[in-house]
Amino acid sequence: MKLFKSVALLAVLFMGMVQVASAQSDNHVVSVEIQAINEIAIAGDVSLTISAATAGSAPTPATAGTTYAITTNDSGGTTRITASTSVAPASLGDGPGNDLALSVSAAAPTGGTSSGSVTLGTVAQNVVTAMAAVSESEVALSYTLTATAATGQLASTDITVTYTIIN
Amino acid sequence: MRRIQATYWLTFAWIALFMRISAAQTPPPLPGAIQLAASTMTLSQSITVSVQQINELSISGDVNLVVTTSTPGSGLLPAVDGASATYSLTTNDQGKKIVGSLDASFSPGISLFLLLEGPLGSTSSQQLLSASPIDLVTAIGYSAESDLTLTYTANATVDAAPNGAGEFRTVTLTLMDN
Repeated sequence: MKLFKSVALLAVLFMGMVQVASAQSDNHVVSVEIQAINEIAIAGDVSLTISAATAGSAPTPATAGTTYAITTNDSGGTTRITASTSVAPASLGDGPGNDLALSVSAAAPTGGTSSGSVTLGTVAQNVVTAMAAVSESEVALSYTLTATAATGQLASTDITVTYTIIN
Repeated sequence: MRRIQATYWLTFAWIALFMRISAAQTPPPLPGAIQLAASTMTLSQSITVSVQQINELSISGDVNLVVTTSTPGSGLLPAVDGASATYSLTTNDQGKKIVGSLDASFSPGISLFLLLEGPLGSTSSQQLLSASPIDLVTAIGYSAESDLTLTYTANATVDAAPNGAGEFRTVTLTLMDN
C-alpha cells in the first residue's frame, strides 16, 4: 500500500511538472538593424565629339546624356553627390589653350537640389545636394564638352568620372 | 517518512534543473560588428571625349567697285572698298593659310587686288587676284575670329573699256594647310 502511495505521489508530481512545462513561456531578443544604404548606378556610357564650328566662333559644344538611379535611406537632408574626374580635362588637347571643359548637369532626385551645370575637375564638386531618403531611377545626367580654337584637337580619350554619395 | 522526504527532494531537484535549463535559453545579443555600415558609396563612369580638326571660313557681303574718276595726266583712280565684306574663320589647328582666286580673269586693263585682315599672329599681304590661287594670309593658327576685313582695290588703265553694268567675278577664299 505504501509503495502504491509513493508511486501515485510521484505520478502526480510528474504530471504537475508536465503541466508546468506546457505553460512555460520564454522570450528572446530580435535585433533589427537597417544599415546606411547608398547606392548609385549609371545607365550607360557617354561619348562626346566636337566636330564642327560656325566660322568665327568657338567649336560647337558636344552634348550627350544618360541617366542614373539612386537609393539612399538617409533622411537627414545632408546627403549629397559629388563628382570628379581622373584627369583634368583642361590639360587635354594639342593646342595652347588648356581650356577643354567637361561639365555635367545632374538632375536631382525628388527632394534634392541640383547644382546645375558643374565644370568637372580632379577635385570633387557637389552635383546634387540636400537629398532626403529616396529611391529613384531614370534621373537625367547631361554632359557637355566645350572647346575653343586654342584647345586644338584631341584623339579619342577616356575620362573617368567618379560619383560619390556622401552623408 | 524517509521515502516521502526522498520523493520531495527528488521533486525539488527536477524543478531546480528545469528552471536552470529555462534560464539558459536566453539568446546572446546579436554581434555588433554589422553596425559598421559604410556611409559613402562611389561609382566611376568612363566618358569618351574627342575634338576633331575643325577648319571653317565664311564670307559675308558682296562688293561693288566702280572706277569713276581720274587725275588728269595720271590715269584712272583705283576704286577701293574695305567695308562691304568681312570674313570669319575658325581653326583649331596651326600652320594654316588662306589663298584667294578668281573664277575668271577680268577684261584687259582691269585688275583686282585683295588685302585680308589676318587673325592674330598671322601674316597678310595685298595680292593681285587671278584664276590661280595665291597666298593672302599665312601662319594662321588656333583662331576663331569674325568680322575680319577684306579690302578690294580695282585698278583700271585707260585702255580698259567702259563695261556698262560691270563685270562680275567670284572670289574664292580657301583655308588650307601651309
